[in-house]
Order: sequence, then structure tokens, then C-alpha cells
Amino acid sequence: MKDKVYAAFLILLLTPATALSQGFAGMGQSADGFAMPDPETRFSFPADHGPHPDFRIEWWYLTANLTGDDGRDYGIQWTLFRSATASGDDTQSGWNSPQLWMGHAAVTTPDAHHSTERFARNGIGQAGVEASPFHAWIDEWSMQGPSLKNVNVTAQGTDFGYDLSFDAQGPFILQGEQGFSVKSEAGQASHYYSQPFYEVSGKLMLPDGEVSVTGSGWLDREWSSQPLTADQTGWDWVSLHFDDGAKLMGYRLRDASGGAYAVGTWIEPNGETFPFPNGVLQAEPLVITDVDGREVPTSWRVALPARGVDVEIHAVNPQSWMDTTVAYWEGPVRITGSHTGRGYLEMTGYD
Amino acid sequence: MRKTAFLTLLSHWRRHPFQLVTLVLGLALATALWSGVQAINAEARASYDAAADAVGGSRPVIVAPTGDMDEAQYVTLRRAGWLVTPVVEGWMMTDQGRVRLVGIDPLTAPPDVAAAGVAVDGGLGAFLTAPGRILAAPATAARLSSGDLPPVTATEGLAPSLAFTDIGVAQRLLEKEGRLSRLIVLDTQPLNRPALSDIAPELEFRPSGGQADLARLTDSFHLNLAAFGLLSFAVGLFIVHGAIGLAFEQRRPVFRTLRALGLPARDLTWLLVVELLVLALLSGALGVALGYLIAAALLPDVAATLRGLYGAPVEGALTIRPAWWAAGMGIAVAGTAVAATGALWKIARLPVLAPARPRAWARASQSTLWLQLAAAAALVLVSLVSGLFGSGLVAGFLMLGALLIAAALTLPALLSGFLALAARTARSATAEWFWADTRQQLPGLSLALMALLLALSANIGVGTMVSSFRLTFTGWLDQRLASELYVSAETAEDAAALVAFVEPRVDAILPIWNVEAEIAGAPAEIYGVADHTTYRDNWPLLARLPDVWDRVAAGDAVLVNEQLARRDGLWPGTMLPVPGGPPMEVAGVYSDYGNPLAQVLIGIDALTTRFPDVERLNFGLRLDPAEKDALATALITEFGLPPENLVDQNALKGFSIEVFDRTFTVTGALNVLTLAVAGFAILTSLLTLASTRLPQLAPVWALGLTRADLARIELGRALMLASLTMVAAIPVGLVLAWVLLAVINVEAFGWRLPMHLFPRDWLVLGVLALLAAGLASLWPALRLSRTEPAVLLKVFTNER
Amino acid sequence: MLLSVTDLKKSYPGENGPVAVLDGVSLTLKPGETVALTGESGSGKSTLLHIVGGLEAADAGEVTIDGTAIATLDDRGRAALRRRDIGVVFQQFNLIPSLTVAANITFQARLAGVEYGHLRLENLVETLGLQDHLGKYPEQLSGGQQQRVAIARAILPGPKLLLADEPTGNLDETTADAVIDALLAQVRMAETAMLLVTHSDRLAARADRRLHLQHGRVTA
Repeated sequence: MKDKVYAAFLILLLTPATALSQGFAGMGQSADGFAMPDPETRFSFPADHGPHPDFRIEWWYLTANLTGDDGRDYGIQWTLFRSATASGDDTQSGWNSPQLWMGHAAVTTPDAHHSTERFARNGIGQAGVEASPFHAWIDEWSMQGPSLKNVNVTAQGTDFGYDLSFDAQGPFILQGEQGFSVKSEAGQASHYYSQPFYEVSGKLMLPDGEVSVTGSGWLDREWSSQPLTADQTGWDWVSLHFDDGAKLMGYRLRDASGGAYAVGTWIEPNGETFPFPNGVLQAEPLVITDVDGREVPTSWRVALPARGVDVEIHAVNPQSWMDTTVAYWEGPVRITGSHTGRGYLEMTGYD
Repeated sequence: MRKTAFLTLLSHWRRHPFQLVTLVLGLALATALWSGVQAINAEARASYDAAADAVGGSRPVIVAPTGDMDEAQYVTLRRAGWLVTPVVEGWMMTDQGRVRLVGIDPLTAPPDVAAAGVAVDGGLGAFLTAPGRILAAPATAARLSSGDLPPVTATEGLAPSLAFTDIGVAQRLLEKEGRLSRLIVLDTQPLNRPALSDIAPELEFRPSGGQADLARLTDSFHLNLAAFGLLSFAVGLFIVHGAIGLAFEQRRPVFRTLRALGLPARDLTWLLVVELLVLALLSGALGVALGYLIAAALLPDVAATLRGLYGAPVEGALTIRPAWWAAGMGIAVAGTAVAATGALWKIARLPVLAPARPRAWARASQSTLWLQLAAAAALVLVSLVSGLFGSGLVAGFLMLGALLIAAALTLPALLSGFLALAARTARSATAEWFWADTRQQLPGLSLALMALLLALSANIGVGTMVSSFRLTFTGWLDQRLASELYVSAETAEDAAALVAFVEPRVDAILPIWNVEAEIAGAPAEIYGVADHTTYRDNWPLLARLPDVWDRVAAGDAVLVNEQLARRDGLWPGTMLPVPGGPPMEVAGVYSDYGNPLAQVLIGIDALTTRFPDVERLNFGLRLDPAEKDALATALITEFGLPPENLVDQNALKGFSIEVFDRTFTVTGALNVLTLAVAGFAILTSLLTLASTRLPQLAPVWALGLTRADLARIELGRALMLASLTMVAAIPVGLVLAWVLLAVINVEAFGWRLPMHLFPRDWLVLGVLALLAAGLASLWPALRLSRTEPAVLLKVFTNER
Repeated sequence: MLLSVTDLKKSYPGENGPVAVLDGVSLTLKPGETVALTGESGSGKSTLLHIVGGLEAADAGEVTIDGTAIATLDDRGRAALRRRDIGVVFQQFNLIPSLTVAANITFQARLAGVEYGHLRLENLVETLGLQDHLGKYPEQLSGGQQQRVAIARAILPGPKLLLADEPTGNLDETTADAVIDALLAQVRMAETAMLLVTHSDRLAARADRRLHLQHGRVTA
């Protein structure tokens, strides 16, 4: 019962009228009535840290690779999705607002993965995002601070929770061309920027007790109305913190024919960015793990020859499955090879 | 051997098809009444459960003690870490009565809330965004046809009589913008959350949902029905007992022959058990099918009553439930077992060469009578104790049941005593024989007569209750509906014009303005009442504080109706939270028969202050009754008031009585059925006796009475016994009525009624009873009058 | 003649058509005369008795009692004849189980409206040895006692004709003799004509006359 309802929920949460036969989580929908990403758009902060209700979907996506005072590797995720069931203005107040919110939170340890989710209606104050001072929340979960550079992040489930402060040590990074991130040859695109320079400290609440942690965090902000083409079935995405201070964001959009569209951005320790076009980033699965009957590649070879990068990434916990209504794999990875470091891997469309 | 024996036994039925029909029909009737009532109860209970599950089931809820809460409190709780989902509920008027509208948030509703699942499956976007959707079970959806509602989707599997929609839509339709009825606490809660008292001290945590109240509230009604069903079944068992007795009695020679031929008693008994089992199953199936028909015929009225009286969500459509099929068959088999045990016991101990038993019923029944009297005395004691020291509905029914059984047990002794006295007055030989013979037949007939007594007492009791109720109700209506005319305007402007138009033509204009609200956690009506002698003179107050009307007019006190007062103990002097302002003192309690809802009367100014948005469209007009028709004509022709907006006092009374009568349709139907079953019981008893009667009648015939004489005497005997039983039933019925009015009614409906006597009804019932007994004895009597002399003569010559 | 039976015929339906039980029986009986009717089982003697007693109708022939042809009477008339002029004693179950012995004895007399006189009743009861049983019910009596009650009941109204059908058929020999003694004594005392059906030669020998029935006809 629960699965059926939630599966149906997933489809309908993100699609106003028709069934999902196209793309992951309905993102292949036509964007009728919604605003379309425009390459001429230039971001204005802090205003663009807030929501863009004219677009159909949007997210605030925070991950962090952490080390505990017990010496173990941990990862956390805090995500707020915004989805509009109907296009149009956001002037309707109260329960009539067509905007819905979905929150995901997770803590990954080497031997456990805790995840949970929340849903909320817009317009009554149960969830929302304010740009300045920055505040994003759903129920009691929040991401709050004087600005997005300096936020306190909390979330909890039935058996876990965290309370962490994120302190940005570098600038916001515009992905793609000035934040206009193309997703396919056909030109599907989103607005996309990141903050990969967070220093993180705080504590995790786990079934065994509290753990003090420190580490590095990465925020992705993205909004669009139709980021995928109809035949794109999912993606593999990485955000890598190399020990030398450089960062790499790369993703591969898989299509139904077995091909892929792979792009990314090389980020120097000082924040200088070098986006690279389709075909440059090499990624091949090394280890396929059985995750509750699904075949998920949890180790990859990632190579970016132009930057001398040829590494293997291995999941800290191969069972980092987000068993949420919209289900996917998301967890921390360790990097070995030409470079070392830590990062996050996200893979959708494997269920 | 066994097969042959079995076939021999069965051949009896081929030669006596009528007996087979009697047995099967008797058992089927008993099962039908029982399982019909069970089906009705099961259907209603299933509806309550479905309704409870429909909005959170047995999960804890958070409510505001004063009624609705602000929806901001939902957000406060969610943002503090309390995983709750909001519900807003209320009554929505439609062309076809009221429907309970339930607003839910499918995003946070628990996954087992069926409506949420349907909302998700059927297009969440459409459900959430204007104009929204209403989801309802097909029967309920059919009642939601009217005007400005969002599109209605008929959906199988939703709780009956509830309409589901998004919470925002529900708030708008119920005019409860920004308000929530309650919050359902979800099963899983996060790691840390503050205490409820720290974040919302004005809210209250209740361990389980409110729908249990509905079951409690309607329990009494169902207990009523179940008691009736049980009574019918008991009466039906008399038939079965009679039919089985007859079949066994007639086959006695066959049994003896089979035993003499070497069939062990054990085997014979088992063959008979198998035979009875087959018959019981056959009759049970027939009975359950009949019961289904009865239930299907009665359920619409029951559902209407339940909806009307308690606001319980029940539709008139019956679903077949395997559980009561099984229960019906089970009760048929169990009933047969009870009815046949005695007969089987005798068969198992039947000596091979015992002489036929020509002597009729043992004269030694004297000791049985004493035993029955002793048991009756004990039961009267039980009844008294539960009446004096018990409380609540169960004690009431215990009192009732013990009393009825005691009365039934007393009946044979009573009749026997009467017959003994009557025998002393006998002058002629025929009369002497008549009384003596009647007395001797009593043991054989007493079961059927007890059944008749039960049926008649129940009829008198329930009839007296309903008629008393009706009499009180009509008298009360005369008080309550004091205004000569009732008018309603379409808009506020119309209302102003209407008032201006009638002002010079009437003695007084009394506003009838009301709002629906939740009082003490249940739906209630709040009426504003003008300060006018109409109320001071006529309003039927049961309890009052001094200066009650002045205090109500001043706006610092309220009147509550009897059902609310009894339910929540709100007698004069107690404080009642009333929405829209501070609590008010209860200054008086008035009788409010037939009203399903709690009702509160407050001063008209207090009403408009507390509910500024109240519709001010309805008025009662006081005027000289002689001028009523003239004013009505003027309102329609001169003022242009639509005729349907004008209600005559008499029409309103007529409508109220109609509603009342509908409420008791079921009771009436069950009454008639029970009486019919009792009549049938007499018939089978007489038929059973008929076979043992010949040795008693043959000498009288031989000594000089005609067969026609004998038949007339037999008929007269049945009529006399029925009359005596009827006379005995009157006091029993009146006690029953008193218990119903003074104990059961208060528990079940919330009002206590004065008792009135209706001797003419008894006369009608008496005639009915005589008719039933007469019809039942006519056939055996006719048969007797046509008995061949040779048959009678055989008594003297051959072994039977 | 008190009783005259002429060419009486009666048949019952049988498996292969009607079976003639009485095939032209004629007999007469004078007041005070006792006639024994003997014959095999099924020879028709009980049927003859029933027809004479107005309990059954004949197919053909005539029965006249004290000048009244019973065929001319309706059901009601025959019932009146039975209670007024005829006393019956059957083999068994003569008594009304719901009435006491006393009530049983007086039943027919009261039914017929006959004044019997208290002394006569007392004599009768004493002669038959029933004085200790008057308050009892029939089921509390032995078979012989029951038959004596039946005799008292039949005699008390002073019938013109007494019909006895195997009155001792269910009794042992000693008891039977006692009952027959009582019966004959009463008949003689009351000057009543009696038709006694029996298969016992010993019993038949005590009658004034003896008729034998065979295949529905009188043979001797």
C-alpha cells in the first residue's frame, strides 16, 4: 500500500497532468507555461539564493564529506526540492498555492545509511526559502544564517540527526556558461551554481550516540523547467574535493540508447572555473553493487586528461540508497589514483 | 443397513412435505430475522470503522478543547518537529441532506488514508489546485450533485457518507478558512521534539481518534436492534422446536421398528443428527438469503435514522459479508441443536419394546411449574437489582431481559392457575372436560404461548414507547412552533425589505438565525433567540435558573437542549465553552425531541456578536392566526416572496412528524415480523400436539360429541389461550415501556419521556393476536373435523 | 326388538379394490339380552359393533335401535344417540385422560343430561370396587381398573344398548374374569341389551346367545 501510494505520489508530485514515461522523476516534461532558462540571465546574489517560482523545479542541494572524532568517514545530505504542480504566479496564498516542497536528509557511515524525507505545502509557512538573511526550511529542518555563505544546517529522522555549521572559504561557482548549464545536444538546460568551499563542523546524532565531525561541504543550486530530454533516463554526478584544494564537478546524462552526455567544471583552489564540453570527461563503472536487487555502479574510473586527472572513486558505503519517494543513490566517496581526496556521488535512474 | 435406515427416515418427509416446509421455514425465519438484524448492524459498524480509518484510524489526535484551531498551529507543530497531518471536517448541506465533508492534506496524510491514495492516483495536481476535486464512495457521490461544488469523483473503497477533498477546498466549502478540526499524529516521529505543552499549551493530545465516540453513541441503537433480533430468533426457535418434536413424534414407530431390526440407538441418533444438520444447513442458507432481503429492505431507513440521529456515516446500500453468512449458518445449526436436544435425548434412550406412549403430556408438570416460578422470582430479583443499582444501557437491557424471561416463565403457572379456577365454575360435562383438557395441554403449548407473550409484550412495550414519544413530540411541537408563519429571504437586502414589508402587519418578527459549530467535540447548532414572550410563554424548559430569559437576553447565559445536557452533564449552573467568545453559563435545559444534534440557544445579540457573519435571513412571524392566509397571499403576490420561502406552521409540523415516523419504521417492521413468527410458533405447536390428541379426543367423540363440536372446542381453546396471554402481556408490556422510556431512551437518544397509555392499541393488538392464534388453530381444527371415524376408532383397538 | 340389523354391508378400500368386511349381516337383540359376537381377526365383528354404535356408517343395509333407523340420523343425531341410548366399552383407551375417575364415570351421564341419582352412583362405584380411586387420573390405574371405570361410565346413564368390543382383550385371565363378571352383573341388573365382541369362547359361553362371524357373514 505504502509503496504504491508513494510511487504514484512521486509521479504526480512532479507532473501536473500526464504520466511519467519520459525521463527521471518527470524532468523530461514539456515546460508549457513555465519560464525557460535563458543563457542571457546573470545571477544576482543574494536574491537568486531564494526561490524562482516561475520555474517548475528547483533545489538547494547540500552534501558534506566529514571525519568524526572517532576517525571514521561520514557523509551527510540536506536537500530541499521545490516543485510546481501548475504553472502561473505564486500569488495564490494558503493551501491553494500550486507549489509543493520535498526535503531529503541522510547520514552515511561506513556501515549504515540513514535517510528520510518530508513533504509540505507552500503558502502556509510549513516550508520555504528566504534569500536574505538566508533561511531554507521544511518542518523543523532548516538551513539558516546571515547569508548563504554562513549557515547552520539541521535535520533529523526517527533514528538520526545532525546539527552542522557551514562556512564558505571561497566564492560561489557558476556552472556551465555563466550559470547556464546545458543538459543535452538538443539544448535542454538549467540555471546552476555551486558553493564547493564550505568548511563544516558540528555533530551527528546516530543510534550509537553523538559524534563530533569536521569536513568539507558542497552546495548545488539549480532551477529549471525542463532540464532533461525525453529519452534521458538518469544521471551519474560527482562532486570531488581533491586534497590539493582543486574541485571537480562532472555529470553524465544517460539516454535510452546507451549513450551519454557528459560535461563538468574544473575548479581551481582559488575559485577559477574551467567548464569542459561534452566528450572530455571519461567515466566508466568499475564495481557493480547489488543494492536491494538493483544493480548500481559504486566504484568508477574518472579521467579528465586535460587536467592530468585519472582516478578511481569508491563509495564509503556502497549501500547508500536513498529509500525515499523519489529514490536514488547518494553517498560519500574516497578518491585514489592521480589525485586523492573525497567527494560525493549521486546516481539516478537505477531503480 | 445405515443407508437403508437413513432412507427410511427420510421417506417421512416425502410423505409429509408440509412438515418439511414448516421445519425449514421456521428455521429459515428465525435465522432470517437474526441475520438480517446482524447484517444491518455489521454494515453500520463497518461504516464507522471505515470512517475512522478514513481519517487516521486509531492514531492519536491533537485537538483544541474549544473547537477548531488556527491552521497556524499546524505549522507551529510541524516546524517544531511534530509530524502531524491536518484534518478539517464539517457538515455540508446538499439538496439530499447533509454530508460530512473531510478535508485532508494528501502530502502529509498517512499512507493508509484511502482518500489520500486515491487523490495521488487520480491526479494530485487536479486534487490540489483550484477548483479541486471531491472524492466519495459511489452512493455518497450520488448525493453530491448540487451546484457550486468542485467536480465529484465516485470512488469505490472510500468510507461511506464521507466526502473527501483537499483541505483548502474543504475550508472554503465549510466556511472555515484558516481553521482546522484536528491534527492526526503520525506513527513515526523524529528523534527530538519538544513537549506539546511547550509549543502549543492550548492544544490537547488525545490518545486515539474521535470516531470511537460514534461507536459509543450508536452502541445503544445497535443494542436495541440486536435485542430485537435475538427476540425474533428465540421466538423462531419455538417453531423449530415444535417442528422437530412433531417429526420425531410421528416417526416413533419407525424408530422402534429400526431399533427392533437391530440398528443400535447410537447409530439411530447419529443418523438423526446428520439429517438435522442437513436440514439446518439448508434452512440456514435460505434464512441468510431471507435475512439479506430483510436487511436490504430495512437498511435505508436504518441508515437514515443513524445519519439523522447521530450523524453516523452510513449509506443505505448493503454489502454481502462472508462473516455474517457464516454467522447465520452457525446460528441456524446452533438453534437446531438447542431445539432438538431434548428430542434426540429421548430417541437415544428409546427402549426397543416400549409400548407406544398414548398418555399425553405428563401430569407431573406441576413440579415444572414450581421450578419455573422459582426461576422467574430469581429473575425478577435480578431485574430489580440491576434497575436499582445498575446504571447505563447494559443494566437497562439486563433489567429488561430478566423481566421478560421472568414474565415468560410465569405464564404457564399463571394460565394453569386460571384454568384450575375456571374448572370450578364449570357446570356441564363438556365445560369441565374443556378446562381440564386445556390445562393438560398447557405444557405442550406453553413454549408457543411464551413466544406469543414475548412478541405481544414487546409490541405493547415498544408501541407504548413510540406512541408516548409521538404524543409528547406533537405536544412539544405545538409549543416549539409557536410562530404562525416562517419566512426566509434570499439575501440580506431582501431580508431588510421583507422585515419592512411585514412589520406593520404582524405582532412580532422573531429572527431565526443559527450557525453550525462544534460544541464539546460534536457537531452542534447555535441559535439566536429574541427576547419575546413567545419564548417566555412557550419554550419547553425542563430545568431553569431564576430569570433565565432575562439572562439569555442579556447575553451572559445560554440554554442547551436535553440531549446535550444529558450527554455532557451540562445542567443549569455549569459553564459551557461557546465559540467566538468566553464560556457562558447554562441557565436552562429544554426538551428538543427528534433533533439529532446538540443545540445551544443564546441571545440574538450575543449570536451576532460572536458570529458576525451569521446569515440573517430567516424569521418567524407572530400574528393573529385568522390573518395568516391573507398575509401569506400578500407576501407572495405583493412582496414577491417565492412560495417555497414561506412555510406554514402546520406544514412544518407535518414535516417534523414525518421525520419522526421514519425514525421508527424499523421498530414497527420488526414488531410485525416478531408477531408473525409467534403466530407460526403456535401453528407448529398445535400441529405437534394434534398427533398426540387423538387418544384424548376419541373417547369424548365416542361418548357423544360430533367431530365438528370437537373442532370448535379446539379453536375456542386456542383463542382463549391467546386472549389470556394477551391479557398477561399488557402489564409486562407496560413495564417494558417504562424501562424503555425511563432508562433505555435516556441512554440511547438522550431524552426522557412521560409515559402514556393507549388502550385502543391494545385492543387492536389483541384482535391481531386472536387472529394469529385463530389462523394458526384453524387448520388443525379443520383437519380434526374431517378426521375419518376409522382413524378415531383405531385408538381403541390397535396399538398405535 | 331393541336392535335390528338387516343385510348390513361394509367394505374398505384395499390394495386390489374394495375388501368386503361385512357382507350382508342380519341380527336382532331383545332388551336385557346379551349376545356374544365371535370370529377370527378381521372377520368384521368390530366393524359391525361400530356401525351399530353409530360410530361408522354402513354402505348398505339397515340398523334400527328402539325403532330409530340410524342411517336417517346426521352426525349430530348420531352423537345424541350415542350419549343417550348407547354405552360403549372398548378394548383400551376408553377414558378421558384429563379427567379424574369420578369425572370419567359421570361424564356420559352428564353429557346426556341423565339424572342418575347419587345412591345409584355410589352403588355402582362400590360394586365395581372403585371407591378408593375416584380422585385418581386414568393413567394412575391398572388396566383392569380402567376397564371397570369404563363399564361404570357406560352403565350409569342407563343406556338401552351396551356395546363391548373385546373389553378384556388387554387383560390377564383373572382380571378379565372379574371384569366380565362385573359387566354381566350390571347388564342384568339394568336390563340392558348387550352386544359383546370377543374372540374368547370361554367369554362367549357366558352370553345368552352366540353369533359367529366369518368372511363378513353370520355363520351360526
